Amino acid sequence: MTALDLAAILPIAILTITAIICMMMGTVRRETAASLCSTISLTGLAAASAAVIYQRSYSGLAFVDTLSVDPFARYFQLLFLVVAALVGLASREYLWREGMAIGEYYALMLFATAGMCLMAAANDLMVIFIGLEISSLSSYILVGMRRNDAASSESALKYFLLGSFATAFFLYGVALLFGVSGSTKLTAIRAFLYGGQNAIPASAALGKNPVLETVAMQSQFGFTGSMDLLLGAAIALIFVGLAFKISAVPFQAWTPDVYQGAPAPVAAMLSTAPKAAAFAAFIRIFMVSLGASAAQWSHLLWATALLTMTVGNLAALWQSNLKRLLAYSSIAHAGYMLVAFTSCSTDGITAILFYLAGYAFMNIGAFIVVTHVAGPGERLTELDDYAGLGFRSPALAALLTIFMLSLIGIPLTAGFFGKFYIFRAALDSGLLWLTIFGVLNSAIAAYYYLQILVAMYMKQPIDSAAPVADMPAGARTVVTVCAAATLLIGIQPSAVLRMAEYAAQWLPQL
Amino acid sequence: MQSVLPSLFFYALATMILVSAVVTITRRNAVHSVIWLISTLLGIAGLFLHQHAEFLAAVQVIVYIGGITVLFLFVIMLVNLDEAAKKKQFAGQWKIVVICAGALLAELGFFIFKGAEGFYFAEPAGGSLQPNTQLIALALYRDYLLPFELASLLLLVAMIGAVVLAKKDLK
Repeated sequence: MTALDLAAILPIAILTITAIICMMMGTVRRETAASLCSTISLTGLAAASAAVIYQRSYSGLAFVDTLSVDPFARYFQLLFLVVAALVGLASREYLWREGMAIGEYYALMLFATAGMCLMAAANDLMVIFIGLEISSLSSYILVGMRRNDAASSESALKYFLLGSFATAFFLYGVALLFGVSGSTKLTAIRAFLYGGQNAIPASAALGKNPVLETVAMQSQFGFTGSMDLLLGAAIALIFVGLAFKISAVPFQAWTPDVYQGAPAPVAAMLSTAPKAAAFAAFIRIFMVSLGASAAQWSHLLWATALLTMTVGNLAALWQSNLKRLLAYSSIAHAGYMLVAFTSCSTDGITAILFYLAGYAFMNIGAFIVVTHVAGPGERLTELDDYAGLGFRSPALAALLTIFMLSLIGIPLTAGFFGKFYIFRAALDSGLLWLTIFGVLNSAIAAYYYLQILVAMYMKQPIDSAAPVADMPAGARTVVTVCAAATLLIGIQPSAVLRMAEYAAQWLPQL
Repeated sequence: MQSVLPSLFFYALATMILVSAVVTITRRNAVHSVIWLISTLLGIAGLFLHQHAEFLAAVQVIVYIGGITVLFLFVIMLVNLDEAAKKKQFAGQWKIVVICAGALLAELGFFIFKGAEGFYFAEPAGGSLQPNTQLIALALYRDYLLPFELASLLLLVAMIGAVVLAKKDLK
């Protein structure tokens, strides 16, 4: 094990160990477990972030080319760690209120984060798959953790069945891609597809491996027509698997049901971190490995981007449940990011990375406010429950307003610059029509976000409405941080943008 | 000169596998079935050994005979066997059985009729894949060490999930 190996695995190892420690907190009394677990997991997340930053002095491929240490992976890992910290802190009082298993909740959240970090850093399709499974399995369980609530169990089962179906697609695609190129390493597949010659000798040069050489023999028949067909099928299957994870249309049907049934803080996490992880894998596989066949899949992306934006926004118009509305809005936002992806340029990737960071803050903030307003048992999630919130609880309403304005993309918020960079990257790549549709879609989206603002400030509160309790300390901190970050990125985007740019520029150099 | 011994081994093992497989599905007592299943799996382990796949043979014994059949026995002991023994043993789907068996027999007949030329055979094991066990060890513990270890993390998550979702109360 070299120093590079150690640096590559350190954040994931720290997360795993912290998760196991959290799991042992089941033996502690419930009264103290919540604050203890959140403290432990925050410490672990901070240590993991330090480990990620420590990686900066290293660069290259670790563990016989399976894990990559690079700025792209670091950007995503930091994003996941921040999201996990925010969600973990915000759910401290929530878990206690809803009577959920505390130690296991934090453990699974940390495991999910470790899985996502693997997805972002993997240079091997197998590692991506295992990371995807670790994070997905943890999310299925997290979604079903409100066990005394039938909707939660239903959504967990739905998520599990559809999710395993999607991973099966992904895995089949990986198998076919291995059949075409003779390797599961992303860089080796790239070398094979660009050079047309075998990928194996380059990777086997590190350690001569007779098993791999026989595989090389089998795929030495060259790059014939049937191979092209096989490659096309592999790309399509991998695309389907990942499109499900980012809830792109037509694989979005699970999203509203799952977000509605899931505990609200879990929904906050699902809409940000796993989606970002799927984007990381998406970008890495398609830009690094399959860049040679970009002409084939960019049309697919174009259509998916357009459908995802439009279907997400149009469906959101008819929603009266806040959690469902945010679910459809997250579908639409995935659509905007796909627009940037369609451009296949470094600028496009930069825009996605920037957007994911901004979106994480505004969406987590919105979901945490929804969590708090919903009250015990998460009963108050309808739009009518927000009537007159601006008078009943001005601070909470003001915070939600910031997040909604940012989701619309009003200037001075993170959402504005996010959309601006996405559409600029799309225009630079000549995607005029997609940009027009994107801008039209943002206009449609404004309607349903403003609907919430109208309910809060222009409607009289229902007489029977219970007063909104004071926000507990953990959730209050998170919402304040999210609002501050949303405004800060909106006013001074250069810091995050520079990081995103650095990460994106590094990608084609693999 | 080719020895008849390998063929003898093969036929002995094949008979063992087939006979114990048939007995496995015809026993009324589920525990007896599992014992006969062990015999089937042992036969398959013998076949692996016969093909110079020592590692697979060992794994077959350790995982299937050592692990999975014990799991089967656990399940059998947990469910109510007396009830099951009274139930009809065969579902009575004779038509489907006949069709499936007919299709398989037709395939076999075709194979015998056409001879070896009608098929592409996989390269026989051996040659470049020797020494078998060392190669698997090199692949698992050097080239793919990371995914191999990560798989255990995945299993841990699945286990926690099963406990969290199935536990009676959360106190």
